[in-house]
Amino acid sequence: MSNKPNANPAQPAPDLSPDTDLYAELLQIPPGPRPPHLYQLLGIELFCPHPEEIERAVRAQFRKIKPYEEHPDIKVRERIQDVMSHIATARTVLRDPEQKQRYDEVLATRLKVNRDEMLLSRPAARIPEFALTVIAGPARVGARWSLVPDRRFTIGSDPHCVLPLPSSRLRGVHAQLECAGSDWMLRNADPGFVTLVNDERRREFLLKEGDHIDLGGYRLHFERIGAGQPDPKSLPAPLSLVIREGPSIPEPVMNAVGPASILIGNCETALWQLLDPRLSLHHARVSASGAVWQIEDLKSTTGTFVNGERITRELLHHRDQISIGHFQIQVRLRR
Amino acid sequence: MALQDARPVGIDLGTTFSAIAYLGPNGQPRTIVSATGKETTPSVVLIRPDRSVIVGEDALAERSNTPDLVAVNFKRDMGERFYREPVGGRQFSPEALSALVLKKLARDARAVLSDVTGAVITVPAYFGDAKRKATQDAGKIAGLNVLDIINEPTAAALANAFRQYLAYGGDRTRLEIARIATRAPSTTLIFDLGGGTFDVTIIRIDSNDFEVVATGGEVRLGGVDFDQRILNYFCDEFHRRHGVDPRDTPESKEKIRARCEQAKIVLSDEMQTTISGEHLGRQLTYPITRARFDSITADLLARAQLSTEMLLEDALLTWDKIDDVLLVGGSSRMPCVAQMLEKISGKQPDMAIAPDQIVAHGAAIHAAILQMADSAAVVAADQSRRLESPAAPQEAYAQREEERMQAIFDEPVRQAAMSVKMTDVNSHALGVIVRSSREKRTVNSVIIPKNTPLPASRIKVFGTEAKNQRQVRIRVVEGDSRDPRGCTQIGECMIKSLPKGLPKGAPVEVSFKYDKSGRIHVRAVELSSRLSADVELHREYGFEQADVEKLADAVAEIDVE
Repeated sequence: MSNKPNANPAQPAPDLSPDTDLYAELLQIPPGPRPPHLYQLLGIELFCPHPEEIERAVRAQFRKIKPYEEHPDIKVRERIQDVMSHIATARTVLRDPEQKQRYDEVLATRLKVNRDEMLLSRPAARIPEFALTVIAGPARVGARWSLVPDRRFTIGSDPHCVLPLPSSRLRGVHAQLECAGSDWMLRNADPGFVTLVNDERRREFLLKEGDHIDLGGYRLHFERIGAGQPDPKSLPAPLSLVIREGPSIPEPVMNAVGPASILIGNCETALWQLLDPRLSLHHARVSASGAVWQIEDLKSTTGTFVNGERITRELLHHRDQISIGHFQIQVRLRR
Repeated sequence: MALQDARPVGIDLGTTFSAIAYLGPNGQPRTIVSATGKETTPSVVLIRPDRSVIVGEDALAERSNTPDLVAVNFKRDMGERFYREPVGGRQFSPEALSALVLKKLARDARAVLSDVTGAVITVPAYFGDAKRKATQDAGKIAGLNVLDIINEPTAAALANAFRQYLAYGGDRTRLEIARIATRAPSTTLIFDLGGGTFDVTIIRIDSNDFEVVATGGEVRLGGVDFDQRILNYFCDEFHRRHGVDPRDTPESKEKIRARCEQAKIVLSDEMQTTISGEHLGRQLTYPITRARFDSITADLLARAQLSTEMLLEDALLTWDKIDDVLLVGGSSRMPCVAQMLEKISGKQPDMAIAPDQIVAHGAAIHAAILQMADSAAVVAADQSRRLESPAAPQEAYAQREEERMQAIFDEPVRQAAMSVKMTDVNSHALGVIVRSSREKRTVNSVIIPKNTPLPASRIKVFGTEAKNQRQVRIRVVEGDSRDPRGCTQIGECMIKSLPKGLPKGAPVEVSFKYDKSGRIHVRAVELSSRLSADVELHREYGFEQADVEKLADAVAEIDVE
């Protein structure tokens, strides 16, 4: 058992005080002038031209600082709120082309750099061609990240990853994506942890449009930006499977949007791993069938039940009750 | 005027203003007006040196004369040991100050109702366990029978939907209500910017079924922060012109703060206004335009916007899946709020009818529902018992209670109320601090993630760390952050006196439970010895039952004007 009650608390990180450099401590911003300028604040390249990259960074930084807003020390709390305001302001300024232009000019003067020269001398900013979308997982489903060329994307449970995903089944840095010419190479960072591409275990893989990546209970869809999106009416409503009763497992909720499919089983490579000896390794699969969700029993030993009846294949409705092993799972559909 | 029948009330205990309401016979919630004829009462307490207490308008009026005798915004300190500064030289708990407001509201209610049989008190959805417990205690200290603690946005949604049932109902026949109740399901985003707190909540309404999908917000963002910005804007200018700063003396500061708040309200209708203030014999009258106000508060609004958009992301929703946007809370009257929401949602937000009373209305409806359900349950239980034994006195009581309910509320209202089902979610993850051997540090291991439907319970089995371990300490925290410093510790469970000779890794089962009102219960049992060790969840600043009773006695003696 890796998680143990903290009988002998190990060295805790020093608590936050009004003198703590919150920018460094909570947002990992390198030492330098405080407050940092907006690009430093967001941890993105100076004068970053990509709105998607700015939005991604804003949300990532806000998620890092927000949990501390109820710190017991009122002085720390006020400074946390200032940093939150700072991030929100960065978003207002950098997402508005006119305001950004003005801000960039002032900043260039302050930093004594020639912004236009910098932008020119840099290889022309390439427009992102691909994006990763979370289509199933315990959280963040629907989040979409444009893959800006020429940078490396780390994926893992560490909030400082470029694409942070909360899950105890993920390594701090679980995998990374690197740009190779106009293609993207996926690398699994730790052989002790599983990364699947199109349901097969991979160490390295050159992604192509339409591939799906499974790691730590998440399924990510690699897609081309601007490719024809399927008509929302042809997709089923977003789905949440919520464990209402059963043994405690690290991720008691699984969310999905079409066209994800969720393999449920007592197995490391199952997208939703339910630790229960009554479950088969590959026990059941929930998948989209046209505009509805269905569940299919994969010839499991102990069976799959919907609203008390054993099924082989069944359509799912809002508030249906799925029973698998010791688990009672409620179906919730967002219209 | 004849008194109305005794019944329970709903109370919106706000940061700056509070309101109290009851459900009328025709299903219309009614706000109880204060002795001075106002629909809301400032949540302000004046404690005079002779220990007499004034609550509301008059206390607010005294704030600038005797700031050190007046307590304000104590809701923001709920869950802390003391209100942030002494009042009249003495320290008070936020519970006690809130109890005085509740007592005043209940007294106003008794001028209209023959008795107050119970109260539902609302809290921001974003309140954690300690703040909920403190609110419940405040009610008890005020001598109220606290029926339930519910979330403000949920109450607002309930009031809004209930109003629609009855409005559509026309002659309010059962048939009409049934028709309304079978409308297509819809999803509403409730944006509640109050005096001191900000909640944003997504609720799915399917017939009479209210299901909170997700909730978020900021626990300390509200109208008072906007006032503070105007105050700073004005005082900076004062300092620039006169070389002295009104913020240096509480009297000048509070007088000017009241005018800044007034200016904010005027700017909701006018494009500009002026603020004047005096300090040390100097005077300044200074204009402020709506554009200037919007620009000095832009970051506050941007924070609310970011929280709103990130909530949608967490709830797996996009704006096209939101049917309605409902504005609640007095601060939602600022035009910049509706403009921002319209810009990001592409929808015209609906301002709630009476945005500062709707929460109390929803609480009143919930209180009536609880009471009807309760009396119906007693009657049902008695009817089944009747088969076995002759009529008991209890049954007669229940029958009377049922008849009384029928006398108070019209049949369609009872039908509508009894069919309402509500599912809420928790706003904070619940976890324990554990040592992660993989990460080589202590982390918060989340047991119940946020936005889980309530009630929710989880069991987690831990292993003891060493051979022959005699006790286990489990620190229970609220919060989503993996870093324990980003979490609020809400209790420590100690299982003491474990049997001797337990092996390393002996299983200790800890059960975690969120009840329907968002309160937390934690228990632990050592499994291998089959000995259960009772665990109590200690709250750092919480009151024990005895303290509550003692304070209640003390408050009962205070005459609140």
